[in-house]
Amino acid sequence: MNIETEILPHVVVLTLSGKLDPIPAEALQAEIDTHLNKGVRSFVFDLTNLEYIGSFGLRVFIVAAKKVPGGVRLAGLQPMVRNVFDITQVSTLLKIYPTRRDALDAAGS
Amino acid sequence: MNADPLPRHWTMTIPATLAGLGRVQEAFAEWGRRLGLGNETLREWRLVIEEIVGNVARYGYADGREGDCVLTAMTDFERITLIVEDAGCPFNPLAQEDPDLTAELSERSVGGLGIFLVRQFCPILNYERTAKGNRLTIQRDFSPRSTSPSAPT
Repeated sequence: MNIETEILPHVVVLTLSGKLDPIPAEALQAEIDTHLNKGVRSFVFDLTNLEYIGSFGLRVFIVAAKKVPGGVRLAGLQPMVRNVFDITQVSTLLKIYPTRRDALDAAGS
Repeated sequence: MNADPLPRHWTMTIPATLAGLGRVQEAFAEWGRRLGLGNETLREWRLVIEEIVGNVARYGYADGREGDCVLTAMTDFERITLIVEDAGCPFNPLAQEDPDLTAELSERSVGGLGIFLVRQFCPILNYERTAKGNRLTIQRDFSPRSTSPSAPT
């Protein structure tokens, strides 16, 4: 999996591509923690090119949402990824948008 | 030579670590592709293997020993059965209670989702503690296309 980071004035955008397997999930957690430690409280995750997520990956988003309630926005979920969020009802804990632009608009950036 | 019959059996032994996980997922997917499974079904199997092997790595050998995990799959082209065996500590993943999916964010547990997902994709699951260790048997329809709920748009 590849993680691209973009630091905007009020939000950090993390663009994920490939498969969010357990070891990449640890890397993603570390990346999020780095920004949290710098005081970032708003994240947009662009998942347009994310083709797979398992329970290890899912956990990263739940942990992030607990740390910054209301500050985690996801965009561009593909059907398999969306299905995993929906079955586990994690989708009810986060804000999900059709596109990255929608998520950025909602984040006020 | 394309005259080989489709392989009804597949097996692989890996170290029970997260580092070994990718290799076994790719090998299983290659077997599944030869059988004609759809991409969505293959991604669901990837998730099932992640959870089961991940559990063996975390709990089966939690006493610090190193050990293997043996995966064996078979099909009659109506169902696929996957058996995962390890020689680690007794650990029955099916004994976990389902997580409370309706809990508020602050109360929401970060664990237990994996086996819950496995149950959604593979309705037939059986755990046995054998003389050799743990054995988990997982079965689902062969279906080349997923029958799980489709995503809302």
